[in-house]
Amino acid sequence: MRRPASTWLVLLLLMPALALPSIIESTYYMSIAVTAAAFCVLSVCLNLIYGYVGLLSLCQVAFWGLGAYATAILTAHHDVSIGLALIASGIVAVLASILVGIASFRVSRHSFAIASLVFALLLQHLAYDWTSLTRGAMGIPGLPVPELAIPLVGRVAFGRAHDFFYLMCAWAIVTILFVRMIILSRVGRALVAIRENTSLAESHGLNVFRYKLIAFAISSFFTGVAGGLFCLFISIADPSVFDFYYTEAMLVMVILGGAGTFWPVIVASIVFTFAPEFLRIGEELRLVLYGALLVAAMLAMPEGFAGFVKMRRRKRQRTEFSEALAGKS
Amino acid sequence: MTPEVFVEVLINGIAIGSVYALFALGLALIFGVLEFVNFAHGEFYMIGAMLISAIMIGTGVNYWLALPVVVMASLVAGVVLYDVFWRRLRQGDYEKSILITIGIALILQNGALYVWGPTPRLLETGFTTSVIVLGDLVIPVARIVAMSISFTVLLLVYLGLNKTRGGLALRGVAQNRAAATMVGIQLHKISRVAVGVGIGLCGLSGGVLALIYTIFPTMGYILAFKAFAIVIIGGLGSLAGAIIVGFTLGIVESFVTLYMSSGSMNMLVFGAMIAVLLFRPLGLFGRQLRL
Repeated sequence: MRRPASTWLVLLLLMPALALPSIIESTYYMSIAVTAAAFCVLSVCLNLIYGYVGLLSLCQVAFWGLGAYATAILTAHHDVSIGLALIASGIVAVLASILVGIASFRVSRHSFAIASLVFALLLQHLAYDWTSLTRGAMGIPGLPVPELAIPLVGRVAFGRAHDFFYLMCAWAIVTILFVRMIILSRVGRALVAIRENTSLAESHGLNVFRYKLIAFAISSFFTGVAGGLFCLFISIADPSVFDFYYTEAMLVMVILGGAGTFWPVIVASIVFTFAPEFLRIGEELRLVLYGALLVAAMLAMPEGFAGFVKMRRRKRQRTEFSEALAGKS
Repeated sequence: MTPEVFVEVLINGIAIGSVYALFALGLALIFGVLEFVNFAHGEFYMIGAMLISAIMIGTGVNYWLALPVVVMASLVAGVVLYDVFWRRLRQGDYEKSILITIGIALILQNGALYVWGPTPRLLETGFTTSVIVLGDLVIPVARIVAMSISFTVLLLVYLGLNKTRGGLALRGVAQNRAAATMVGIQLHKISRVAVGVGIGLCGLSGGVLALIYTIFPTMGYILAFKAFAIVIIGGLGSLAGAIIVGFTLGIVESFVTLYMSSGSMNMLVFGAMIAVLLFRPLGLFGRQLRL
């Protein structure tokens, strides 16, 4: 197993990315960079619950949207400070995850996938229909600009994409470090054991239900706060935040990166946020393309790119080995 | 509520419930035989509705000619999909199956959005706005038509499953795959039929509900939400459960929406699903023991 030190090494390698705002002038590309950082959080969280625990959660988008709405409602309608609102969004998402988890973990994995999808669809319906709380399709616009007092620098307002990038990156790094720590800990090994063989893990005395709930709650917390941050960035929370687009993008990133591998998924998140922009593919066709990618990946390389590379390497080693044997005899 | 209103609402509920039953039956049929959930089910329903409207506008044929064409097209689509994608899936490949069907759903939905645009359309059939007046009762013809088609097809499916050898084999596979294979039932053949019929039912329910509702590319979503809840409440893979819960939901919805918004109705459906998962995890009509 890799040692945690590699986490710091990778983060160090990613450091140059923090210079992006001073290199890139265009606000458009900078906001894509912010989105990429947000997608890193989303896919790391989905990877934790799907890649490491083996639970296909289709309601990560629900936590993301819940976080966005909680932040929007608290800051715009109740004058709660932004920091407090963000923490509250995380907590709201955790409560929702516990509700869904308790109800659906005990049944088959199919039931969990369906229940989580139904939960995500329900929230989108609610965002449209519960107009007294969410203002329906109009959404909640005009959210405040986050400000932070940083020692030596003074008060910084994160109004532009160039500044907001640092905020989203900070959250992505916190998420990556925390989830990495969980995966490398005892809990992480328990989670993998559950994925590999649930009954065996249970018979060894692991409380499978509790571990699943812990993983689900962690992934929903980070996703929820990221949702809150994202709605502050675009300065509006509307029902499109529950769009299936996010679920799809997350799935493509995690699966093509390689579910259950850590860094490839993060690389895939960045690649798949930027690639469609550079290819100039319109919204509808982009989703068609993602769908096709998903189907193709499932048929051709179900373990994702990382798994594909690993399989190729193993195959090569095997042929080399047999060739060596043949040479000897 | 006057007796006339009661009867009208009841008929409306039965009409919609019968289509829910058809739709959920297809979902349960596919799950029963292949043991995976078709997440693209709602999209095939949408394609059915879109297709019937496109055919009727494009060629000017009437509803009764267009409907069989749509059903046949869905049936063929189901068979092709089975042979191209689903045939290779093994038992226990559930994540793979879910993700493949989600991929297909996204291609269909966004493809439809791209081809037909987001504007809702109405099916013009000649009897769309006509009503039957019986004393104080006013019954829209479209609902009667929808109801009669659904009941006929439900009856046909029932007879097919219970009175033919193929139906017997299909039920055998749904009950116990291994035993069914052992007595010489050809798994692939049966699965192909089940998927064909399941998707065919989907296209049919799209064609039928198009009589009652407006048609737009994201309509599959809304029905899929209910259909998934229906099969969970009824018990995954339980055909009778899908039909009973489908009818019940249609009727309850028809009455409840008199007093509540559709949003609250969705909350109610979700609440019922969570309650069933908590207290009867295998569903109201599910097999109580799964091997």
